[in-house]
Amino acid sequence: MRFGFTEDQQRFRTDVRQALRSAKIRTAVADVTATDCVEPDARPLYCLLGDLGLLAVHWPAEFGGADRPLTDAAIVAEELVRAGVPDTLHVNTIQIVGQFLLMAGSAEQKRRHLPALARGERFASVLYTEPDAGSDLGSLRTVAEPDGDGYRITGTKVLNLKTRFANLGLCAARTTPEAGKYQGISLFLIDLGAPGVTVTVMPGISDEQFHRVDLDSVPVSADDLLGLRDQGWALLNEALAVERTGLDHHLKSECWLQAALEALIQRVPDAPPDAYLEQIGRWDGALAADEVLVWEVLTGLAADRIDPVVAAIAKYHSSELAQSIALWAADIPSPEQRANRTRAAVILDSAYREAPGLTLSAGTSEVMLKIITTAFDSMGQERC
Amino acid sequence: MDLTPDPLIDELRTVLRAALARVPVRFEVHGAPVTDGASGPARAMLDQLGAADFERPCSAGGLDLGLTAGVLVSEELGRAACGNPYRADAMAADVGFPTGAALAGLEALPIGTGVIATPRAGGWELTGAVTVDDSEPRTLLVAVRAGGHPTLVAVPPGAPGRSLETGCWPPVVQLASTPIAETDVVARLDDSPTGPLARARLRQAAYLLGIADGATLITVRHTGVRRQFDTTLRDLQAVSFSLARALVALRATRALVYRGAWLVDAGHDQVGTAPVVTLAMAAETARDVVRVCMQNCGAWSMTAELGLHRYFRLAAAESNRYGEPAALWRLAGAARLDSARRAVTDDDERGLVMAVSQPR
Repeated sequence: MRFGFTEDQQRFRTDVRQALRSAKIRTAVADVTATDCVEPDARPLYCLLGDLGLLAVHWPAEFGGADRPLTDAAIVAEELVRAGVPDTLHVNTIQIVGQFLLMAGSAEQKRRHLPALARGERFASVLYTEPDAGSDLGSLRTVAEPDGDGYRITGTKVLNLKTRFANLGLCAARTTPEAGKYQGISLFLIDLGAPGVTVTVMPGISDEQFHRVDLDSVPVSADDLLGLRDQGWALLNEALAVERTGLDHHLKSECWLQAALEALIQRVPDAPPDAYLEQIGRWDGALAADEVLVWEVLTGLAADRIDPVVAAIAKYHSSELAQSIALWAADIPSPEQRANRTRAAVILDSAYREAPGLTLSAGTSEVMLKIITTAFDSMGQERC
Repeated sequence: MDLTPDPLIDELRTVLRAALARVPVRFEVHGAPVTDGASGPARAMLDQLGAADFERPCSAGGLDLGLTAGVLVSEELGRAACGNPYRADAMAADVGFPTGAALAGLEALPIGTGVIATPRAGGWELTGAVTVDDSEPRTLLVAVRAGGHPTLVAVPPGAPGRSLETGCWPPVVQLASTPIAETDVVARLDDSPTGPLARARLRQAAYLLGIADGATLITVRHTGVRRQFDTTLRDLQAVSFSLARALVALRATRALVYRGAWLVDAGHDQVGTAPVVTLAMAAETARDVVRVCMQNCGAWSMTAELGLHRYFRLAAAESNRYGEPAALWRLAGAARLDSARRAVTDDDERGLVMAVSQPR
């Protein structure tokens, strides 16, 4: 086991950090920093990052990547967030939809979609949740009816992020509705500019708005079917396990704790009360553990090992931690700091409003606990 | 990072676990739940396996397996709810003292004055009452603050004013104006990230991790067969979710323990407060997880039926043995805040806004 990074990884991290320090990138980052609950359009920034070849370094070169290991992609993701790049477009487009295409897409689908995603020219959204199918995705009602060589998709998807900025949707729909709850589901790539697609904003408390996507007999070709027809449930579960590295939540924890400390240092320049020190120590310890849990998933994925329990533990720990830090830190900025809209105060206000979603999206904490309970029967076989 | 388990460590764990399964345990519900120290029943097993050689460098005739092997031994001792005859010898080896001594007074190191060292000609006089990890009259390595520094001093069995109280558990040593000479100073226990105290803290964290893990294993098994409300306890969500949360806490604590040992073994410059943080987290994990286990196993947990009572008793005694967790957290918090303050100052000097986040 190695709990540190190799020299090659450290060099790579330094190179990425250097690239992100360019004036052009810093200006673009400043332009997309959310203020007063407005969700900026980060696509121009992503276009610059695509030009630098930073968005999908682990993808094969023929699909716009740099043939680097998945662990290097995680290093890039860390540095992007640390440089202030809003990460949801990256998480949705590259880490979820792109990664899923890479795993389950046909060669033609990969050629058609991946290079533009890697260049930051096109973006993707995840269309799983429906008004009556949240954690219980097996209840989804969207249908894909055969139409000539392709399908027509009808249904409603809700609570998805960044969809109004996206070009492509990864959509779950029933292709054989009578087959049973978990059978007859297929996955499609939908052109969000196609006729019959209506995207509307669902206002929510966080800076990033939810969307509702109404699909009214939206035409998709057979080439847009991802994987085999009716075999989507297994793919969906695999995709969810890949989503659950916890990396995005870990980076939020890191960022929010740092903002809290910044506010605290400005507010109480001398030593803060012991109660603060004690809690800061706890967060520091939890963050260190969190990093290891996240990287355990990442190194497993890099070796083609997908362990749903390990992923669920990482997702549960990282999302609960990020949420707890956000809630704790909400009270730290003083009235003066809030009035002056200091950088830390703005970050922490945004964090508080984002926090409830962390333990809900990509599988609620309760779903994660349910998955973890499947480990009971194999207990006693622990390895360090 | 590459978190692929090391096959050698896996093998060592298997051997230790098999050997510990043959060590007799105390099932009495009253009195000491374990026999600590060199006279404990696990000592013979460790000697048989040559555990003293695990951490010892090759140059000293050892196997040079590093602290990682030391935390593994400690974890397995805790998991089996055995007393801990390993830690005293391991720390003695770290400070170049012969084996066979007992440790005392480490609970007062982060804060407090468990033993007061009053200067006198040629040395100090020690006064105070502190926990000791052996009920036999051995040489004690006592942690004291001498000259303002945490220090480990040797107090021989017949020293004036020294008395051992074994009617309570853990046993307590009382020192009443016990004289020691400067030559009795064994080591300064500074906060060196890879020094003897840091190593001892990580071993103790691993022991606590093992205690929590062993209790969880018993509970998972028991709740898998015990039926109430026409179902097994484990099929009740209130039970299964609390145990799932315990598993998460165990995984997080294990992550810190083995990361800490790896950082020390690698001489990594990021060791920092890792031993302090790891010990604090392990102490709280042990307390919290064992409490959850007691609740889920019901009143049977308070009898000798399941053996869980030993873990419950151990969790209380061991989670404070190397310092109160809250005090350890405050040390770590102060260090983290200092680091953030330096980052602010550095950025101010460069005329930059503070970085959103500093890489760990």
